[in-house]
Order: sequence, then structure tokens, then C-alpha cells
Amino acid sequence: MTRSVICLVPWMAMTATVWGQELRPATVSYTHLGQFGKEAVRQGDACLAPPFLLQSWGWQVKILRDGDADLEVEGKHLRVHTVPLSGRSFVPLQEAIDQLGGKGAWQGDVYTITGLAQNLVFEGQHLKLETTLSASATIFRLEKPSRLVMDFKGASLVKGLKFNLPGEFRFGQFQPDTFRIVIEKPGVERLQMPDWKPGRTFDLDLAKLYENITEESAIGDIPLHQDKPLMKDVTAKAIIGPPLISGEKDGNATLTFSVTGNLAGRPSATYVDPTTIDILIPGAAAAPSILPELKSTLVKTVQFTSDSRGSIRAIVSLSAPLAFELSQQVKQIVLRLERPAAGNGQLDGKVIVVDAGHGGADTGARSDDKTVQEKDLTLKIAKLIAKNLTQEGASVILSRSDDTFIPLKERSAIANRSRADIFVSVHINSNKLSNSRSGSITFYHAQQPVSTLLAECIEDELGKVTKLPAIGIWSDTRIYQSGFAVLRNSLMPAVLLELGFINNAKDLKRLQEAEFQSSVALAVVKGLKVFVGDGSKENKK
Amino acid sequence: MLLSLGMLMVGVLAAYVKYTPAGRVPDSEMRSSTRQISAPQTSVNVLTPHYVEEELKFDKTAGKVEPGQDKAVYVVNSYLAHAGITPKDAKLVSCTIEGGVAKLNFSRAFRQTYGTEDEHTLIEGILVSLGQFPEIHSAQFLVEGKAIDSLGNIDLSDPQPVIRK
Repeated sequence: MTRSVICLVPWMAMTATVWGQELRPATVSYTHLGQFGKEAVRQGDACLAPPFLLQSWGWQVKILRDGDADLEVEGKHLRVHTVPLSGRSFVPLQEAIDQLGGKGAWQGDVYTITGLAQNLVFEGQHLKLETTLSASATIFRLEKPSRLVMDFKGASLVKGLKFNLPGEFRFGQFQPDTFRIVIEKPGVERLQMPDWKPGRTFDLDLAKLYENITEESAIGDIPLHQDKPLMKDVTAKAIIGPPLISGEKDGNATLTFSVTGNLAGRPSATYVDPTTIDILIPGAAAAPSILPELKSTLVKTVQFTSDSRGSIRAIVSLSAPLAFELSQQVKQIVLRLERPAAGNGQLDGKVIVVDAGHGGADTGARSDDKTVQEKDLTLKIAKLIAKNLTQEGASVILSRSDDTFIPLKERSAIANRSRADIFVSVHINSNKLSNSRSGSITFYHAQQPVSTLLAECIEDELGKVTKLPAIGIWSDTRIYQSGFAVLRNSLMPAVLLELGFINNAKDLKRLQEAEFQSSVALAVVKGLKVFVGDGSKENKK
Repeated sequence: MLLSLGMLMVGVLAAYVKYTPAGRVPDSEMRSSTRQISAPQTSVNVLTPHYVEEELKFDKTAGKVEPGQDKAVYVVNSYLAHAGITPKDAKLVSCTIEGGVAKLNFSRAFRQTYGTEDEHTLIEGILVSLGQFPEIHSAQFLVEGKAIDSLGNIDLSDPQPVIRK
């Protein structure tokens, strides 16, 4: 009788005392799948969930006549009792989780379910992890010192459980639902990054980490724009072969140099300008003296020069601005070239998001006397850029057109929603500890070759007009390991401009001049035209 | 008759549902452990930032934590004072550690945005300062008890790993 009345009450709104204990809506965060609305109910320390919620995680649920539930989870069959609430059968999650060997814990009204890291071993040069429920892995490298970080979302550590691992391994609970393993040992950059799908077993081949490896056989990606090549032995001398071009199609091509002998360090590459790439090869003795003709429409020439420190530079001259990735492979150096998807030669018709940094209560940097605010300068300049781009036929979306606060995540969301081709964020720098800092820096997100090219195209033009130093293009990870939110979250080529230092008297004066603001706006548009390969206005001049 | 009685019961129950406050879980039922850092250790490293051209560097000096004073609060506030980037009344009020995550609760004046290199100085210095305490793995930035998402360009909405140097 009581039950038939309660069944009329929407179960979602239930906070009434039934069977003596408070019930209230609760959220379940399930392994790596994350949070699911307020579909569950908290009763004391128990979390009760309706069958459809379990099904949304991929569980098979069958309610039996006797009120028990038959569950099939990741290949395991289990049987739990159910709790009737407002005429429906709810599953007490802890009972199911206990049988699965997982863990459930409350944080406020969120019940977090994770699998347990039950087996973590290092054997046969493999690191193996087993979890009781599926987890998803993200893996990334950090430098200085060399570390490989593996995050397993949906897994947790049993307190006090010891795993026997060598000293270079560390592990721990990074977040309530994320188990982290860190390997700190020089050479982690040599490891092949695994492509792990969500699952219960993870296997990482560490053979390369423990090999007594010579530079000759080192394989690995090379960070873009490494400023100081790691010099090991300046007396090592390798011989570089003539460049070979391959796979040239649709604006893409690969340029390969053979290496005989040992290099003194890792090669690195930087832009000289958007159509010139400078490859530094440390500790190379000889470069080809006679160059075969390159059968390429993208690469015009490759010129070798030696410098006083025993290194060779290869200057690659391109017929159009191209993105690049440099890698060192067995006995060769490979430069992969790529034309940006937006590089169809026209600014006309492109969708470009111009983001004026900060706004509203978020002032950004302020001058020492607090009279000049970053948010005002960025809005002025962003509007000028937008005006000029519109005149070129581009569709411009301003993330803000007045003094309003826009959260960081919304800025990139605007660009992603509108499927923009390019994202440009405008900022002013500040360094209160160093009044000598002056000039522009254009930031790109780490390891994004096309954004790097975009940054180079714009910074190159800024340097011609600001009358301040063009410091250069920087990876956002130079400022912080995770980079900048607006660059990391944007799906299209994205850059963030720092046009000068507000704490520097000379920069501050210049930043406020109308001539500075309008020429910077023109330079950004010119840089964008170089990026897309639009030379129309150039020809008219 | 039976129907109207049923309707009445629904009404009474609905009113009960609406006006009864949801129960609170006693703190003892919360699974995550919360504890204040006590400071048996008296000597800690205090950092002072400076730039050598483009590079941010830190000078370390020994600092003394008075008995009863929180060592994490002490090193962070000393760093803020040495850096001189934040307003004078921007202070770390408290630091509690939950499962290795230090919840840094700053005063209201801390809540503003900074230019990129100042933001770099501020965040990196705080994370390096906290990196000397092995019990702290990461830090969550809060102002007056509420998590903040950024001080400029960097996404701080999740706990940030401390930097061990």
C-alpha cells in the first residue's frame, strides 16, 4: 500500500525518509567514462542506481522475478539483490563493485567508481599493468628531467599495496579517478609511444630505455625548435648525405638526409622565415659538396654551411610557407613538409576567430600605475584586425566586442563551434621582475607544426612594424607544461600574440600609439595572407 | 473516495518532499581524509625568483616555520612577498591536503589576472615551493574556498602537479 503511493512520486525528486534513511540524488562517476547526471540515489553510504544507468556504461542488466539482478560486466557474470524505490528496482552499486574487485567512494554527492590497479610488474623489459575494470590511458613526455608520464583514468591504487619496481618508477593516485605512473630516466624519449585503447591490461615495451644505445641507432621524435641542441661529444663526426625528396603530392613532401657515423647530438630545426628552414646538425664533419638537382616544386634549394662549433647547417628554401616536423631515424634525418589545410591561396571566405584577451573583471596585465589595462589594448587591436580581415573578404568572429568577461574554455569553444579555419588571440605581456624585457612573442601549442608555421608567418610580419624587438615564436609549454588553454583547446591552427611588455616604459608608450595599433593589425592580416598563400595584394603593390 | 484519499496523501507527501531539507552527510562519513599540515619541521626552503634574460630562476634561502604555523602557507606567502607580483593583501590563507592534493585557499585579492610572464613566475614558483614537501603531489588553486580556473592563460581548473627541483 505504501509502495503504491510512493510510486506516484517522481523518484528523481525524492528526499523523503523511506525505510528510515535519507535519500537524495547523487551523481556517479564511472571509471574512465566520467560523470553521469544525477541519476542515482544516495542512501546513507550506499549508492543505488537505476538499471538504465548501468546499461549506459555497457553493463547487461536483467531483473529477475525474485527481485535479484543478473549483471554481465566486462565478461563477468554476477548476481546482486535490488532495492525497490518508487516501483523500480535499483541496484546497490557497492555490492556489484565488490564482486568486480573495484572501488567505490563518495566525494560529496559524487560516487566515484574505479577499477583497482591489481598487478603492476616490470619483467622482461616490459612494464605491465592490470586493472580490475577498464581504464583509459594518456601518455606524455616531460623534459628536464626526462620523464614519461602515464595516467590511467578509471583506476585507483589500493592503499598500502606495494609493487616491486626499479627506482626510476614512481606511481600514485593523481586524482580520485586517475592512477599515475612516472618513469624518470634519460632516454624515455626513445620509447615508442603505445597506442593504448581503453581496457584492463596495459603493456609498455621498455627495451629501448635499457639498451646501451648509440646515437646512430637512436630513434625518436625531436622537439620542435629545441634552442640548445644537447651537445655530447663535439669530436664526433658524422657524414651527411645529399638530400632526397620523396612522396611529393598535394603540397606535402619528405626530405631525407642519410647519416653515416655518430652525431654529437640531436638535430634541431627552426624557421628563418616562413619559407626558409634552418636545420642544425651537431657534430657532423662533412656535407655533400655536389648536390643533385632536387626534382621538387616545393623545395627550391638546400644549402649546407659549417659553423665554428663543428656543426653543419642545412638551409632549406621552400617555394611556399610549409609546416614541418623533423625526426631522427636510424641512419637518417627526416624533414616532413606539409601545406596547411587553409593554404588554398585565399583569405577570402576563411572563417577567422579574433580573440581579444581578458575582459570585464578579468583585466589582464596592468601598467605599474594601473592606468593602462591589457583588456583595453587587446580589444582595440582585435577590432582593428577584424576590420582589416573583413575588408579582405574573411568572415570574422570576435570572441568579444566589448568589455565583457569570457571564460577561457568558451573562447576556444566559439572557434570550434563555428568551425573556424584560424584562431588568433591578442595579448599584452608583463614581467615585473625584469624591466628590460621588451618586444613581441607569438605563441603556438607544443608539437603543432601548422600552428608553428602560422606563428612564424605573423611574428615575421610583426617584426617589420612594431619598432620593438621580435623575440620570436615560442611553444606555450615554455610558460607552463600544459600550455595555454585557448591554444590547446582550439581544433584549428591557433596562435596567441604577445605584442609587448606593459611593465616596460618604452613598450607601454608604443602599445598606446594609434600608429602601433593600426600597423600591428595590418601586419597580422599580412601574416595570415602569407600563411594561406594569398599574394594578391602583394602583387598589386 | 479512495481516489481522493490517495490524492490527499500525494499532496501531503509532495509538501513533505518540498519543505524537508536534504540531509547532510556527517563529516565522519566522507571517505577522503582531510588533514592540516602540522609543522614539526622548522627549516624549509624559501624561493626568490629572478630572470636571467628569458629564463626564470629561483634563489633558495632557508626559512624558519614557527611552531603552530603551516609550512606550506609559510613558503607560498614568502614566495608571493619575494616575487612582488600579486597585490600586497593577496595571501594564502590555508592549505589542506586531501589525498596528496594541496587545496590552496587564497584571499580575495589574489583573484585577478596577470600578464603571461608574471603568470609563469607566479604559478611555477608556487609549484616549486610546494615541491619540497613529499606529501604534496599536486595543488588546486582556490580563492575564498572556490576553485578558480585561471590567472590568465593557463587552465588551473584541475589540480596541478607540483614541481620537484
